[in-house]
Amino acid sequence: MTRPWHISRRTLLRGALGTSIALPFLEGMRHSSANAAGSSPPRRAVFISIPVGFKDMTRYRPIMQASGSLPYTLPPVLAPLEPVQSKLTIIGNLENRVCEGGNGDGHERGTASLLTCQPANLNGSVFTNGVSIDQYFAQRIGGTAIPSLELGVEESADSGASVLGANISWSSANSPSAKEVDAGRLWDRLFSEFALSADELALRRARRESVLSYTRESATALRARLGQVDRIKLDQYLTGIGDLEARLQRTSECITPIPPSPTVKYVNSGDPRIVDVSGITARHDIMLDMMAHALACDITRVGTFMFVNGSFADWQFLGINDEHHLMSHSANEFATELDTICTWEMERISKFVQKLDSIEDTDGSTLLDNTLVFVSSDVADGELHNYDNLPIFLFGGGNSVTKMGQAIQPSGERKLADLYVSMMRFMGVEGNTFGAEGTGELDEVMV
Amino acid sequence: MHTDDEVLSLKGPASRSSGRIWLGVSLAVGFLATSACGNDDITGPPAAAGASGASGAAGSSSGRGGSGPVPPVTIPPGVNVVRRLNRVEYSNTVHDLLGETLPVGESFPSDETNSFGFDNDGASLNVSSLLVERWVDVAGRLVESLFARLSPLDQPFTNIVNGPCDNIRMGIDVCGPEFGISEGGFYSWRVREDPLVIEGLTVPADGLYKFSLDAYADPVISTQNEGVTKAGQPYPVVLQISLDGTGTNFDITEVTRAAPRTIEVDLPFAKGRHTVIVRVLQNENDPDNADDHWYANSQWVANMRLRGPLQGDVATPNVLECLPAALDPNQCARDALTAFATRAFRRPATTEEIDGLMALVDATKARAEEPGDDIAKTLQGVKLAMQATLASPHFVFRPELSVDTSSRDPQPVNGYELASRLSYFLWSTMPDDELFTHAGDGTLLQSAELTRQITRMLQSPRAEALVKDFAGQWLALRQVKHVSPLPARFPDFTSDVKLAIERETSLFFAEFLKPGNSYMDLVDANFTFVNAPLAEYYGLDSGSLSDDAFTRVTLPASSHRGGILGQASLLTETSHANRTSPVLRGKFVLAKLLCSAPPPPPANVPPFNEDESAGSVRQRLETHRQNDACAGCHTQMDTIGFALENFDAAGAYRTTDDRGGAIDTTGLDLEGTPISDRATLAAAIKANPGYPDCVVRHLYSYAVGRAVTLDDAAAVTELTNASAQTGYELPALIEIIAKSPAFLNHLEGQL
Repeated sequence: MTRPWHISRRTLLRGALGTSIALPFLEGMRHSSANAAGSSPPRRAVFISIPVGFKDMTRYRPIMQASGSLPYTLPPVLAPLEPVQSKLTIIGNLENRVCEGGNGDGHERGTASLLTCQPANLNGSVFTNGVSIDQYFAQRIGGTAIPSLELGVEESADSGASVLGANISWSSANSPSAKEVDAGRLWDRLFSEFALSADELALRRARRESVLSYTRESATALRARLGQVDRIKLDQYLTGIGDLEARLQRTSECITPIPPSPTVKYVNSGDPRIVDVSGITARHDIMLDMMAHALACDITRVGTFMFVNGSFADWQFLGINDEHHLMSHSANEFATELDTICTWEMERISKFVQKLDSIEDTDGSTLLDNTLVFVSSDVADGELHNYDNLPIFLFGGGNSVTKMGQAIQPSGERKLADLYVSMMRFMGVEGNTFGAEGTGELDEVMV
Repeated sequence: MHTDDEVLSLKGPASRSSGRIWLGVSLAVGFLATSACGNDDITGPPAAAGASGASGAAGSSSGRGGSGPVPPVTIPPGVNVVRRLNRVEYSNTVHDLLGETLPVGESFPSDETNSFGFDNDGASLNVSSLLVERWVDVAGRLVESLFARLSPLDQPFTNIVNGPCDNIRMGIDVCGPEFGISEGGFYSWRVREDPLVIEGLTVPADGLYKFSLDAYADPVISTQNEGVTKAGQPYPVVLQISLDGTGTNFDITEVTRAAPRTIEVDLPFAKGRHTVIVRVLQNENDPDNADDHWYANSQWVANMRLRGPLQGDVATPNVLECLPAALDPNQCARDALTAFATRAFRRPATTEEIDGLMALVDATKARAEEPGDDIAKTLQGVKLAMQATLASPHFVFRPELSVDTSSRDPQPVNGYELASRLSYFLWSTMPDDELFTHAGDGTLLQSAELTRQITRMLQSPRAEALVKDFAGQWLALRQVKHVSPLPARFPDFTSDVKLAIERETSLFFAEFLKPGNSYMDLVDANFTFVNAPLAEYYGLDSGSLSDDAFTRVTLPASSHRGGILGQASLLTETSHANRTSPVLRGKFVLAKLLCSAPPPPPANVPPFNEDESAGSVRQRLETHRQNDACAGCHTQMDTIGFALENFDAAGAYRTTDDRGGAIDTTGLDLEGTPISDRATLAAAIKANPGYPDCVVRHLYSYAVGRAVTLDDAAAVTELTNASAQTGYELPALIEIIAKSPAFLNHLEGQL
């Protein structure tokens, strides 16, 4: 990994300055994998939450046989996962009931605690939760341009989402990590520097450094004048400044071409320059696609992605006319609709996982083999708001955590946090406990 | 309070001394509970220097039809968490500060809301790394945009390239297939599916740009009925101008060669590369394209041009006017940054802060890679310093630095801090010049001037923020744009109606921000605002009404409407797409109007079936009551919801339910008061002491930026009593809150 990436950028610029270049102008850019080939690829982890659970857990869970049994047949609503079934393990009998000690309604509790395995509360004017597992990893891995990537697709503002209901990623006990929901802004954040010449980049970074330096001094002085509670907010601010300062020192290398900028929103059949990115399906696919590219460019090694929230109502492209959450409360009435949405969700996940599996990593394995993709929900059953027997899908990891291709039922109920402890080994992170309750690996189902 | 001296170093001592005096008095009122004190007793200093005459008789005019001063309240402050600007406040602030034309705050991560549903809650307004990155980036873009507005571009596109869009000069040429050129320099093209493309168009900064062209159609008259075109009519020609896929349509069917029409459209460009497309739309009323002779027409365009970025309704400040002719560029830069940072920080910038900003200018001038001469480098340095100002925590937060943060006692805020508290409460934006003036000379801290400013602010168009941001969240009006009653089932609920129902409730609520209206009547007032489509939807006389403008109408006694409970905004946002939800309607009334929201359903409880297929209203209610675990909450929710069953999921009046059965609502009661329909439900709400209490809770929570809790029970009671004494009018309640110790003092939080 020694080849300076700005060389490929210069090559790119020659193209951009020429007279004939089509949108998207970075599409043709590739890094040379020659130097990187054979090196040991980094380990990555992605955590995905889908909202309001499943209509009926027994219906969506493959028949759980004895632990480790192979093969199994996916139920119809999970059929989109068939192409990646050999790299998928479905794990039953994990619970996260510790969240019931938190504030908020059933979905807020489950969301805030999904990755923290601690109850989340509002104490006076300060939220308290645990550090989420993605941030736990990000803070111990470090070294990438962006420590972690929090993505979603839906503004929470208009739907009145609370702190607890809108965030699965928590960088500290008091600090939720907001998510980017706009594909164009995300592209700018991840890839715009690749389009600059070395001189342009140096000037840009020098200017940015001086701005950051001023804001750091200003915030440090302000922090000293504020009280304890307010210092939490200033610490959040200073963490953000620190992340930006760190990025000034870092460059990234890609094992894939840079994806096209998704800001073009035309709908015009027949014109290949025109891509529809406005639909909710495309918004999921593009954000997850850019997540894959961010991993492939080693811009980050840790990500979270939240599906469209449960109050989303514009399902007319699936022939559905109601809010997901409202329907989940009348699951018999809306059985068909909820099945349809579930299958649609699995299509998005399958597409992302297949994308990861299609990218060759530096050692000849696939990106998916060096990535763990965890998928679950805030609640198990949307009608019951329960946190036992959660739906857990684990993809990738090259059989180093658990043997993939299984449906596993631990013989007794276990903590969700134990699965996160098991993931630590894969990520090369020390630790034997996690959250309020995680006390050890899920040894029974792990390799 | 040594910090006071630093922050206020650039202004005279008058306001500080008035603040000190006022401290003692307001504390006395707040904590000795001397409720006998009249309004004038909390006025503070008789007249600070330069403010003589400001505390005259007008001071007690709150606009309540000549009634006396509002009754003072003793409510103590709750903990004040340092609040950052939320998205709306950020957009509004840079609009006022910079003349920015785009709602840039919308590019930030969503703000989350507290249990009252408000997004200005100190605890919920956290700062993520992503937000900090956006703040830094947007700050730079705002500065670029400001300077770009001061010297906008004006770019014509004169060179049209025939054939495919290869080998064209990016951003200069226009390409498209098979062009013809007329004598007058107008272009036409034959194949209508193919657009005219201005590709790779690069603009220097974010902003609104005006794209213009001249066009005519040379109409061809159809000789026969064809598709949607009748014999003798011209084939329609609709041009669409789109930026990155979002288009605006212009019908030029009737425009002739003799008199071309100039078409202009303001487009929001982000800095960077874009594609503008001009094309001819197929007739949207002719989905099958049966009108296949529409090709017969031609369309001609010329004089394409892009100008911008445009100025908005607030003039862009020429912050560096002194620079081009400056003898001392550094002094010019210092003066400019002092003025800019003082407005951005909403209080005088300190010498140290300006020194820090000037260090950025110096560093820029010293940087070898920076292009240009001394003036150019100074300009670049000031731009960076302005970016740093906008990214600074003193801009994005609203810290209150006049207080001693080690103290655990409430302390009065100073004039500037009060000005910001007021302006973000009433306007969701920074103080204007007049507020700044009264903050600076200390007069804002006097009761009479404070009253005058509150009255002025409520009469300002900016007070619409209370409609958009307070009512928008309290009454969930922001969610109305998401409602989607099933078109097949509710064909009368057109897009015009959907737009109208949000506007109706906004205008209706705005009436209650004027003196003379009791907010008791929010639930059953006999007036509303309608345009023609909404009047028809409601079955009101629409004869003299406009399709666009809204008119206040008095509802006839026979109308089923009245108050927000009869407004389609509330009725649709609490419904499923295909049917009503008595549960959601009941929950809305309990949570938003009575502040007795039921707790979330317990885990592992089997669900209700509120679908109408499960039986009549009465049958379903009986079923709910059979389950002890649920009956407590659902009986109340469902009862309220059933009283509104005469309104369907699209808010239209009906006499039978979705099953075609009768709606039997007899025998329902809300805490002992019989209810059977909207009117009796409204009467029961008005009679319930929980209702004014709940209005107070919401407004107070919004005003102080935190969720009101059990600890505030005494304060809420006191506010509600004071509100009762002032006729339950919102302007008076706002003034009562704004003059309360809670609003005028700062209490530092402790961990």
